[in-house]
Amino acid sequence: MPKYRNRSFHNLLVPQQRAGSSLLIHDQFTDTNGVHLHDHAVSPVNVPSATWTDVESVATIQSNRAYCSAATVQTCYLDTGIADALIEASVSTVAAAHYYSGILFRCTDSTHNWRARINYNSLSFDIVEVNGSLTVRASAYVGYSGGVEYPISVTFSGQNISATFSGTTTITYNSATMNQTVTKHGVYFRLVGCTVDEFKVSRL
Amino acid sequence: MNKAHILTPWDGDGSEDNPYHPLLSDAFPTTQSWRDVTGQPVPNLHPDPNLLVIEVICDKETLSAIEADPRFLVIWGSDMSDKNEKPSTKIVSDIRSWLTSQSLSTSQATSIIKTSKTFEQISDELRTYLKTRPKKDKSDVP
Repeated sequence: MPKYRNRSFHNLLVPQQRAGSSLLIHDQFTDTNGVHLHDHAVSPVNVPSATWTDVESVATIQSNRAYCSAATVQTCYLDTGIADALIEASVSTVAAAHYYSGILFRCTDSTHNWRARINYNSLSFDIVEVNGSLTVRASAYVGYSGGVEYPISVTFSGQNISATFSGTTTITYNSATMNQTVTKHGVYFRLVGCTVDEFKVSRL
Repeated sequence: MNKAHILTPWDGDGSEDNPYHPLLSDAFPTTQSWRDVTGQPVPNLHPDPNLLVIEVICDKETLSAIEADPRFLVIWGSDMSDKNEKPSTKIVSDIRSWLTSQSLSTSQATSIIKTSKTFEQISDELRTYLKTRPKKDKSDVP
């Protein structure tokens, strides 16, 4: 997967900052292959001086991306200091069932968090509530391809969540009462080879 | 594209590989999109009765296929009915009958689905009723 960093091409793929929002965190995951995400310093923007914390398993860096390095779920968060935010990322999965990749938000632990993810099982884009058990609260069939990076974003404010795939398909959920004031957000993926890149957190 | 409010059972076991999800999303996997507009708490899934209202965006053919599938009930669809109109007595009767087939009592179905309500108000009544249903007792599951 070629990486187009600081080039106009990438600006076509990643949703633009909304007017009035302010960028707090931008991580391009530039680091040595194999470095654990919890040892990687957020760069180039890290206003709250947040550090990556493992929630479930230990993600690594590969080809300057956050990389799922084990046959399990891997989640990692930053304490951003804000519970309502816009988060953007570029995500990819392997082209096989049970591979997921996405944005983790309002996370307290491995069994209490929210996810906006691409899902190769159903070639869909989902909002998932993890509250002990997993519940899909909204979903769109997007028919994406494995091994290709797609821009996704999620905006959450109070009980309202709005998530967008590739700048065009938007899904919403308006009863998000769990973990409404939690400020820890990050990355989520499952099974080896899934990636997250260009992770950005903005104040609304 | 059509927008519709549809009653569907929950499916799944809450696991990573099989999260709770509307059965409709398995039956019609290429439906453009759906969202939960009921918001039942996760600890109550699957509720008794095992139903939720979802808002679906789909093409006309898919909506017709959903309508023909007895596992689901289309409360209103933008290409089928004006959600601000009141349904005919026959439609009210059909909705009540479908609900009783989903383990609601006749009196429950009658109290929720009133003839004086519009399609949208019927959806609202169903969502309010279903949001607070308790988790189905495992001993009731065949």
